[in-house]
Amino acid sequence: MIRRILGVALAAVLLTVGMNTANAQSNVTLRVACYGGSFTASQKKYAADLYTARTGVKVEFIDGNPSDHLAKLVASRGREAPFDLVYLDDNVQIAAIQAGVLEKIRPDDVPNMKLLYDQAKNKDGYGPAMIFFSVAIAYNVKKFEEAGLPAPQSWADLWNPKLAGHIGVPTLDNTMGHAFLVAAEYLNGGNESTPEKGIAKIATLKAQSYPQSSSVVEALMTSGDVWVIPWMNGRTWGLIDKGQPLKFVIPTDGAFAGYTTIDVVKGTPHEKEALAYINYVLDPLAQLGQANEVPYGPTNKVLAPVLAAYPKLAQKFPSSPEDIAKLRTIDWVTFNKVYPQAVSLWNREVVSK
Amino acid sequence: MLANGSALAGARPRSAAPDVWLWVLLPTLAVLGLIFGLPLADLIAVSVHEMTGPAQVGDALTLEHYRAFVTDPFFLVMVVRTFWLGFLVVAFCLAIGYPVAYYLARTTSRWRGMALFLVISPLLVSAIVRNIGWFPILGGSGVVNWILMSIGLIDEPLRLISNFTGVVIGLVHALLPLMILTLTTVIQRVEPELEEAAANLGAGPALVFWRVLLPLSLPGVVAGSLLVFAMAISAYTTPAILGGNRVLVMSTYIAQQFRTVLDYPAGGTAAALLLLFAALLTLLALRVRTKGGEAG
Repeated sequence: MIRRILGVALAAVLLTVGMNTANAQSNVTLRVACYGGSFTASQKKYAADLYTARTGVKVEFIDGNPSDHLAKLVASRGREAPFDLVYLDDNVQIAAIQAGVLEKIRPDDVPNMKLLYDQAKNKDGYGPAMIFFSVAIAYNVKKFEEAGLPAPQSWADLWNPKLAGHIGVPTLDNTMGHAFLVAAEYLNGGNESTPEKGIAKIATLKAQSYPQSSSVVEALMTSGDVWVIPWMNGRTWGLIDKGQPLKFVIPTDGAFAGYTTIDVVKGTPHEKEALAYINYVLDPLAQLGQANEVPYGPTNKVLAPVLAAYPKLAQKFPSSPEDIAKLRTIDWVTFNKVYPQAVSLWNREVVSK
Repeated sequence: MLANGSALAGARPRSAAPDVWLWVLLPTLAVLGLIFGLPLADLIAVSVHEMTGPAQVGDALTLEHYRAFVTDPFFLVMVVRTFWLGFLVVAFCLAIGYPVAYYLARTTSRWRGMALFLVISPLLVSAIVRNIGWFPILGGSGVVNWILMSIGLIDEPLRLISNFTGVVIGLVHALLPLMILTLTTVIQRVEPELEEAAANLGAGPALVFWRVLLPLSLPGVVAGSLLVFAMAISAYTTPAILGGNRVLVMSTYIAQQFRTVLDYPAGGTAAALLLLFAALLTLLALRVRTKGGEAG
């Protein structure tokens, strides 16, 4: 249903564009660093194409891994910027801000910023979050029933000795791994500044493996080698929609917020166009289209009542103001500061055990 | 293969004219220098600088990363684990690959082409698909465990993935074609008449293999082993996927430092040392081969 509405809306908007600004022209091409796959495809469909149709500014996506984008930005400091805009993960954005490669944004230049949840706005005035996702617990209902295990309800439930050898722990390389480390830090009486506490706690889990990518998690969940793993909503729902006997549980002590940000790159010659593009990304239509294609939650709060009317879609991501308020956020500045030590400890205490 | 080439080159009288082949090679060398040499030099240059923040490298020179690496037993264990992995993979590839290569070199069957295709088929599949494809075969309820449990050999499923065993299996599968192809080329050049002559003089099959075939195919054994060893110690995808990130080897450590910790000097140090160790081992192996050649 929502798909049809979106299709009609998109067609209508493009039609009006055709009538009003048929001769919108510009010889600017924005270079946008993105993630690739269905994410880039939905950003192109709902934000970039519309933007190009209305302004004539072309958009070229350069797909890659966020830390590779950061590496390129750092390597080109003082020279011509390799991109005009960049999509980044929350913790990578913090590192990019510290490296001084991003430009601050005045909210007046991006009118849609006013419509965002407070949690989506950057405190220091950098690029906003354009989607929310959640890191919580994905588990195999069938395997749990066979083993006579109750459904996990809190993060602490993952330390059930009966899960030894059957739990997957996301490796410390990705957002899920970061969030689970923080969960373990708090369970062990610590916080983001004490990775040793979280790692000591995780070391007591007898993990089947420490997967990094969703394709590996999918294979391990399908083969039955992994029964439960802290993972993100979008990918887990992808598996549920394919018919896997999985459930995605928000722990009572809170799922973790993950977000993807969009920023203007420092030194871009097309700042005005870049800011206008961000406004399109935050536009309700683009946000709803994105949520429908890849199940990540919009950060534009105008959409909350629309999503509430489509519970089947809305259950897949943090969609209501209450959901979003309940998400646990991570102090990334502190986390990043001790991250190299955390990885070193992880290699020694977790991987090598 | 290599030995024959150099022997021929040595036997040929030196011509006064400049070597044409050097000029032919020049464009290739320039391209290789540009796409391999320069980045490697950059990598080594990064390793002697300070890390000033994520993805950032300072100007000050330091050997601190090397000191930290070589004085820490944790890293020494990792290096040993990496080389042990390479050694095991080479040993299994040789043991499995030699008979197959011998068959391929000697057979006149019309199925030879088909057999050759089967041998190289692992090379045609992407590394990620090849690795993930092992999950349903080696997993806890996978085919192998199912068979072993059905015939009563084991009661509990064996752990064959997400550990060192899984990495060895995955790498042997991936690199076996290289070993077999290298060995086949060399064994083909050993004339079957030599084996027949040895047999006529009373040598059993084991003795023929040990005294005739093996020494004559030694260049192939060394070349194949070096190739497989170098690929095994630098493989990333298989240790990461089939090791379940529970097997830390040099390559996975380097990737981790570069791609997630963004500590380029630390990653560069490990990469430079891996290169150095691999180069030393290659030189050692080539010396052994030369000596073997002289003795023969």
